Amino acid sequence: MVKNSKNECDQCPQICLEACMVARSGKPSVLAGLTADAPTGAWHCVNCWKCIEVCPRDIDIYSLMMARRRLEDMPELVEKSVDNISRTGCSIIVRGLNQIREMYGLKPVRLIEEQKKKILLENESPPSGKTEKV
Amino acid sequence: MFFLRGEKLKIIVFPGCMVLARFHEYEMASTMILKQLGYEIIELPEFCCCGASLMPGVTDNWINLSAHTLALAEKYGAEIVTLCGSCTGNFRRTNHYLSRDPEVRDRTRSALDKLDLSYEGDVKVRHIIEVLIDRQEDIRKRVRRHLKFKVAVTCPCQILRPKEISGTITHQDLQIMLESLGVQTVVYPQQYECCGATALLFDEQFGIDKGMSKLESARTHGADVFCTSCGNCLYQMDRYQNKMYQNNPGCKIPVFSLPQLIGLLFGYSKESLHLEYPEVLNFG
Repeated sequence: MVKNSKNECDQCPQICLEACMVARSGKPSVLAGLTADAPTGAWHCVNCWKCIEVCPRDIDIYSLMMARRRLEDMPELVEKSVDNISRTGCSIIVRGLNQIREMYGLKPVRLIEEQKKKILLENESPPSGKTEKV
Repeated sequence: MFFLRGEKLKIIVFPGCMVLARFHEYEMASTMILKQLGYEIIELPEFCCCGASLMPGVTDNWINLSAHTLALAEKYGAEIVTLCGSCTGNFRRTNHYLSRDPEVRDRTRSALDKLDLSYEGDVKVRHIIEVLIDRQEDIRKRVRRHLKFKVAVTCPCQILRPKEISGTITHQDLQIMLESLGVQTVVYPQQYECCGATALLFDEQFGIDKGMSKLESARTHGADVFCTSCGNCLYQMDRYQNKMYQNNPGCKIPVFSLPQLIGLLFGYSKESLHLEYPEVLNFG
């Protein structure tokens, strides 16, 4: 969602930090690292996207944040959820889920087959892939 | 909303991991209300996480996870109706990237090809709040019950932001609709604040504090019931109340999803909606 092609923060009064509930609390936030050379907590984000709403430079905060996350350790619970998704296709594992669903009159669900999920998550870019940028 | 020659509009109700695993009453009420509004619900042959807020921080291939569900919806000629803000945002983001970035499109096409699927990128994705707001005239015709309690409402952040991928509603539209249906709503200072549920993953106490602060804002401004329609938000505002109010259990506040609230308006019994709050649900 790049709007500002250079993605350069010009250190406006940093209204993204005012909009962010994590930054406002004084905790390390990913925005602190994006707006200045400060320690970051790339996973310390509640995904409310108020920062994107208020950024006067139309910076693609989402993409920058996701790139930064790949360089930093995941919090333990994030790691567990990611592991669940990677293994089962669902972030939460509930034993006997379909029996519980039946009690509520809900149809049973089948989670995606492991092989299919593996293909989706591990697929390499095709060698002939175009690299035209938007 | 038009139904061509009486043909039902096909939808896939996508609960998302959290609702699928933990909020069966919300999923069940959603299917009940949507069926009553005339939708034909298509069952997904297999469930796959949309990528949640987490997978984009791990791999670019997160898009393939949500594209897989979008491709199935396209195959069945169905729209997707989500029950979680995070899923809404991810599906719309996927549509956005696939329509604008040829590199992403090629990568996803290559993955779907291997599963004998394809996706043109045309599947409409709406959150259930948006669907119910769109259908409020039809909802109004079915209202059979007056509710005596006052409701604090909130919308999931990701159906409203970022604006490039959000739908057409504003935060106020839900409250305006409920008032027009005869539901008494309250205005409270933290109405437009995030519930902070995702913080539970990296700093539990911070998350609890944020959720409790929002609930207290609603409660002290007259709310008898808190209404939210997102798996993460329900988890925070409902299930975490035991921790929030462990020293003050009398301050706990019932949490309903919007489809359960509409179900009450339609005259469904509290038992059929799996609501367990005798005090506020004393219809006399």
